[in-house]
Amino acid sequence: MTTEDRLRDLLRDPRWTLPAWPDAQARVRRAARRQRLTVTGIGAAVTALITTAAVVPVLLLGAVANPAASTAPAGGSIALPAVGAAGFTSTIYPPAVRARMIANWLRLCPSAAGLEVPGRNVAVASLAVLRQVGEPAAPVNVMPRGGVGGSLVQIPQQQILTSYLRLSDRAFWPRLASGSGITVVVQAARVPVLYSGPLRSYHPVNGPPSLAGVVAAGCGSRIVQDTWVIVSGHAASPTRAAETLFLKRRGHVLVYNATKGLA
Amino acid sequence: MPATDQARDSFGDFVAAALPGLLRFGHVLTGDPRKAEDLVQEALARTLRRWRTVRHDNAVAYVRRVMVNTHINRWRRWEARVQLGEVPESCADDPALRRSEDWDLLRRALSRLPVRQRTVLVLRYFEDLPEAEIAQLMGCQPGTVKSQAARALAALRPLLQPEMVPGGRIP
Repeated sequence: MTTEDRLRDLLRDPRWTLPAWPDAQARVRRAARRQRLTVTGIGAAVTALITTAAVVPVLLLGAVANPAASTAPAGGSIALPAVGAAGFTSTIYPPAVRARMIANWLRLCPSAAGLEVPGRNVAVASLAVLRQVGEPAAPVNVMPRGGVGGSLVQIPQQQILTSYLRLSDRAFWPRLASGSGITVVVQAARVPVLYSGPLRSYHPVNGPPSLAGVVAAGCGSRIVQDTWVIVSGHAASPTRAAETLFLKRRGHVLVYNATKGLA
Repeated sequence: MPATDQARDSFGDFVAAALPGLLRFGHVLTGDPRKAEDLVQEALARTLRRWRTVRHDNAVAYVRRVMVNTHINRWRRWEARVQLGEVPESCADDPALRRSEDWDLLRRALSRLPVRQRTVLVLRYFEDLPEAEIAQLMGCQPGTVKSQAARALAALRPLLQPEMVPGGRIP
């Protein structure tokens, strides 16, 4: 018997057989439904990302630089909430603070006002927030200025922008607006959770730089103490993990930053 | 009977008939029962989404093609390196899977092959596909298939000799 025959023989060994699934069709249909949702969700996220990145950044950055000022509606379709604006009470959405030591992804820190030490219930709430931010609402077609003859473009409506902002601290708004924050969060929401817990207990296997250390240097140890982190990614590729940072302020769990693969 | 019901029934019949063979193919391809089940489930779900356009007389080949592409793409995305991982515990600890030293040795040896080499071997010696078809399926040249197969066989040859010592160890 040649090597090839032997290989052929062993590859056809009955022990490669696996038991069939009793609920095969239902299982496949569920998987197909998940695939459809993923494809639709990614499409919507990409569209939202592009449109948000194109329209919102300047407006939002303006709002952060001068948080007391109310931002005027842009193009008649978008208005950004000033501090204390309706629906964005300053007790839950206080002005962000500049980071003491700036990293690319950490330029603003959340205000320490009203922060609560995250308990076990934050595990569920933070995951729910991550999923919601990771699945943005679909933008709406509107006619741009220029009237007849102009092509239809997609512009995120006030409602869509508001839904992002409502789930996040003001410290994250510029990154949401620039698109980088949305990209990371959308990706983080679509891969398995590897860790969910207090930031101070998170010790990445790859060693320094420690995420907690960077946050402490930029925002102070109080923020580290009150931060919950969800690390998402694939166990086979831990260096590609995304870390999403949450805080709990007056009972509300908010995203305040997200970074990809720092660990 | 409405068209959607017919499609549902025909897909259900197809899954019932093809599943054992697909699971077996997935197991040989991945070397891991859990990965095999994931792979088959994903490939069948993709097939279901395109069921109206799939030639029903060739559906098994279609699903196998999806499985091969998905498997290679996963490897490209997440494991773009030679796989040297351990055989999963669930497999190693199953006494039913350890009865034959030869088979166990082959399984371990296959798990140490790069994914492309393993895929070539499976398609060639399990599926009996010609090189040209394997090349088409894997999106490479027939020469590449030949060289990958030669390298894989060279790696396995010491283990597949008739005088192989039972209980031998893979380096």
